[in-house]
Amino acid sequence: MSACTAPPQLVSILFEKVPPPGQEVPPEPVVRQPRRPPYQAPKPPPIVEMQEEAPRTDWAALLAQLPKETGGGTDWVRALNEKFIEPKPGLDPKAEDEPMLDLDVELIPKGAPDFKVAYPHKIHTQILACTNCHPAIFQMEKGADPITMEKIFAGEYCGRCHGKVAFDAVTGCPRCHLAMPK
Amino acid sequence: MTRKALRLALIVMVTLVLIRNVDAEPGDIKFTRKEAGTEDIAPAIFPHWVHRLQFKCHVCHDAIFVMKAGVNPITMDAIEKGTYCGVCHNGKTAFQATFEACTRCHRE
Repeated sequence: MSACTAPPQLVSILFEKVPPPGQEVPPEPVVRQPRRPPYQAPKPPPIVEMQEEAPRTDWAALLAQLPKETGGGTDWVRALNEKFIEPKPGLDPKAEDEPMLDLDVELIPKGAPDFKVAYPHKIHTQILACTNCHPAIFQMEKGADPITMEKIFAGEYCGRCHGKVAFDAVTGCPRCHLAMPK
Repeated sequence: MTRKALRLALIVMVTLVLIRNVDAEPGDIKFTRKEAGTEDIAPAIFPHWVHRLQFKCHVCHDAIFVMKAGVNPITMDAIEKGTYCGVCHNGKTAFQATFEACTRCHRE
């Protein structure tokens, strides 16, 4: 209670910014920042383009329509020649086919001329490039490769593809050995 | 008796072979995984037939894939970087190898 009744001089000593009587400075106006940012209308949401999944092609149905071999597998040669399929020659849409090589190579086993094979380059170069086989699998020189059926069955030479992605040499004898009964 | 047993065994074997070939086409490649720790994801199966319906052999061989089993070190990282399967499976030429599409290759 005594502090409240103390003379003003004492108050100005004890507390800052309390001017002595008669010298009061008018208080500075208090500037306060707004408590929340001013209202702004929200931006319209961006237009989202819905991307629908491309319709899937039923490849299995297409495969079922392809001509079949007697063994039940797909006859890819007929499928290609009869235009059931038209595989593209490159990833580039403008890619062009390499020219086919119409050359049959006669392979006659020693002592067994009945088992003569006429290897058709034509069918093979429709889907393969020269470098797929030459010179890694077959040398370019005729007779340079000791091709035997054992090696083919073991997955060498023709067996690199035949028996895997092309007709099996086990069941397709007359397709290469043309003189054999079909 | 032995003849009957033999005949039965033969029938069972033929049936098994037929059943096995119903779903798979010749030339399908089931990859064996060399990296440990991902056994809960089925290994990828490459169906040759789907691809050869659309492209000639020399499009992929041997520039993208060497024609020898096990010599192409295919990994998901490599595919995402645009090599091996990623040359086409990038959402442009063919479906992208994303988490939505795992089971299109990784299937039993």
